[in-house]
Amino acid sequence: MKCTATREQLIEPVSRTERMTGKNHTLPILSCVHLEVKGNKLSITATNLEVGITHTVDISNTKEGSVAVSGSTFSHVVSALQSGSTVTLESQEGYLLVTSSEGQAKISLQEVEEFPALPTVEGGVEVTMPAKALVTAITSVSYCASGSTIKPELSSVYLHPDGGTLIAASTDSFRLAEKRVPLKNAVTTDPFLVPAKSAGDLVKALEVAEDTVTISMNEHQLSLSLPNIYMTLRLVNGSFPDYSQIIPKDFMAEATMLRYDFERVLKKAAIFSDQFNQTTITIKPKKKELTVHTEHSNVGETTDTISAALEGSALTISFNHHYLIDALHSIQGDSITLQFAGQSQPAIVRPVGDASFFYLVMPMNR
Amino acid sequence: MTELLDTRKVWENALVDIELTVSRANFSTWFKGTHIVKIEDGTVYIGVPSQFYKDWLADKHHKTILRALRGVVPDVRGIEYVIAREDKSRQKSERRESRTAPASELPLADHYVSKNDNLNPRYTFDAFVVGSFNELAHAAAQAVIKEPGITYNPLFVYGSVGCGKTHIIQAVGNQLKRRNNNCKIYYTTSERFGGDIVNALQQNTIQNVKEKYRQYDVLIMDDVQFLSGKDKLQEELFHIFNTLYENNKQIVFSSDRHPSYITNLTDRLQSRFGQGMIVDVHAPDHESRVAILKNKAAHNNFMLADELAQIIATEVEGNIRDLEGVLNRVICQTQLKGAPLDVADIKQIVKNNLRPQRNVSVKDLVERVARYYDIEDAVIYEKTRKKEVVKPRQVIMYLMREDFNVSYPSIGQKLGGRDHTTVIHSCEKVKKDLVNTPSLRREIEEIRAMLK
Repeated sequence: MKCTATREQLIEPVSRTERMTGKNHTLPILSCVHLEVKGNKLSITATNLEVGITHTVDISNTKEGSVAVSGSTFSHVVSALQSGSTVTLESQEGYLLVTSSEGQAKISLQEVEEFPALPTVEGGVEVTMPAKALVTAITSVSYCASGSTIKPELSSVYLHPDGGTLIAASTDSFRLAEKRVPLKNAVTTDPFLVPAKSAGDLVKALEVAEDTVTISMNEHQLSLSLPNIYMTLRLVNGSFPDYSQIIPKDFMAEATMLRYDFERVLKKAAIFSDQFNQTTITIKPKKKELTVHTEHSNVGETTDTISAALEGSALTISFNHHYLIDALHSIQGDSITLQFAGQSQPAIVRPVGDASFFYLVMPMNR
Repeated sequence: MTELLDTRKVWENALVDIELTVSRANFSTWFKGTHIVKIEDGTVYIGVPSQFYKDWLADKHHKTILRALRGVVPDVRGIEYVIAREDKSRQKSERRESRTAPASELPLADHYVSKNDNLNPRYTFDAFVVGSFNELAHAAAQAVIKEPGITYNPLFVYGSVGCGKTHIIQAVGNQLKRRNNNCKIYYTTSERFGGDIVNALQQNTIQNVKEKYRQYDVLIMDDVQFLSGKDKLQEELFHIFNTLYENNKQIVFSSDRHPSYITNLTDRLQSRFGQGMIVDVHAPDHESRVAILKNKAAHNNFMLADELAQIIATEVEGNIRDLEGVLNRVICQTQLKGAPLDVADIKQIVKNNLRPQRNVSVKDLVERVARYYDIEDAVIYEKTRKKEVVKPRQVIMYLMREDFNVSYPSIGQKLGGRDHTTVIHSCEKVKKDLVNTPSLRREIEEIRAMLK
């Protein structure tokens, strides 16, 4: 194998691919990137068996062939080259020679036959949608997914293109976020579940896409093709809970306030939170007060009152402040509304004047 | 069940062979998380976690696997790789999940019913307790799963409320789904079916509904007794039934009584219900009730002591749903109390929640029990030790103690001036007999019912 390219052509694809290599995997070959020269294209591939990605780079002066080298070594070598230099990659007697005008590095080769091929999606459906919409939908909810692998459907991002809307939702069974992103061209498919771990990689790949992206998927696998990038990932096979049934419809109290105020108070609360991260919200509509109180037996306590528009009856209710502050990260607007359905009923956080997002959070047992 | 064990053994043995031929890293990467889904006509279906594994095993290790499998089962002809997660391991780890999370959870668990087939994944045969009361139904269901549409078609399960009819028929659906993901299964209740038909008639889309029901490979319909007297529905069901039956599609029904006893059911439907296999499920016996309690408790990550399970099973009359209700209360109380409950607590729960508070005089009680056993009520008070009198007397003492909480001395005094130790002995004896003699249990249940 042999090819020539500039450092700038290589650096981005190599570092992006290297990130996808399997870390701490039992199979050493998965920490490698796979380099293949075919025609005047170099494809750089990595996989951790959950997600696989291939970047292609235009090259010259080629000799076809393929090798596998340690991803981190290769990526470090490429980034340490002088900027603007021309690089030649050549395989020779068990080594990959990386030659630039300054010098030469020899990276030992791994058994290329061991490297798994990326699967292609057989017999599925194809949908096209704006890459931005997909990124917004995923990032608005993915932080809610559960970190544990016990229930795969809860450690996933639920995505459902439903006519003119892309619905995304995620939950770890303590809180749930839903985002609806309008689509210009209506597409409808069955809902699918992207593992939350892979969702981040998917977003990173989509960020470089400017316009629309075409996704093909079947029951088990999803793949997307962008100019110079092919990505494929495993889908979770399961059904997402029908969460529409647990959204409360009647509320006993409602509070509208500036997002900034609430965020600031919660950050203060974080200093004093106990091991359960408990913070207590008290609303007194008659006195027009919303108070946030947090205490830790060793550290101390804090009480803050926010000016808020309040409706309904008085209520004292406790939450995990991490869960509350998470909701605020994906809200852009100035003000938010908290809706309480009562003790031990889920509360809802909504941006004011934006129906596309809501966040459901369970209070803590007191 | 035996088949499940077999495939596991086969795969374990094959893996031992495979382990010798591939490198350790390769083995632990590519073969961990694989299992045999089924073996059919000499083809072994191997379940793998994802497409990556499917492609790689088919590409690189196919020959090794085939050779290893032939070493275990000589008549293996081919291997198919399917993407399927092993269920067993998941359930185990689910149990390990702690329930001590400080924030309460969103009540999502109840909403997992899949929309395509309406099946509730909670109902599986893993969570199913087989006892003498449902042995036959279980065996018939297993036969159906083995050869859907051929062995027993239709399968008709009947039994009184809360005996596990819905569980068994949904489990059939879930098991078939697990075996073959492409199998079109649909679970519905006769009421929902009725709703579909009525809506379709209103909107003039009856043809669509007919098409919808005719496309299924397995149709499961719950509570068909409600079709009684609804002629139009019966007619539609009749046609759907015929289409499915002719195409060897499996049909499963449940009802609270034998088809012959469903009133206002057209003859042609009645005879069709009976043409496959009719099985009944009874109320569970004592051992099964204990097993059910333990099973449900384990499902809720709750440690239920043997002694407590025995008491609940003895004390709670009625069906599995009642048992479940009491168990839920026990779990809730334990969490509130923060320590395991003792026998007295359990009795309190059982009493508070199940026995309606009622006032029956001793005379009344004696009279009814005597009438039940067909003896004079006066002899109960006498000092006779005839066998036919002693048993009713002991039953009366037991009932007074257990249901009405009368003290031992006053029971003795009211029943002809007996010593309280006699009363204690009698109560203990009945309690012991209750565990071993189903007939006594039935008698006491009947007496209790009369007293209500």
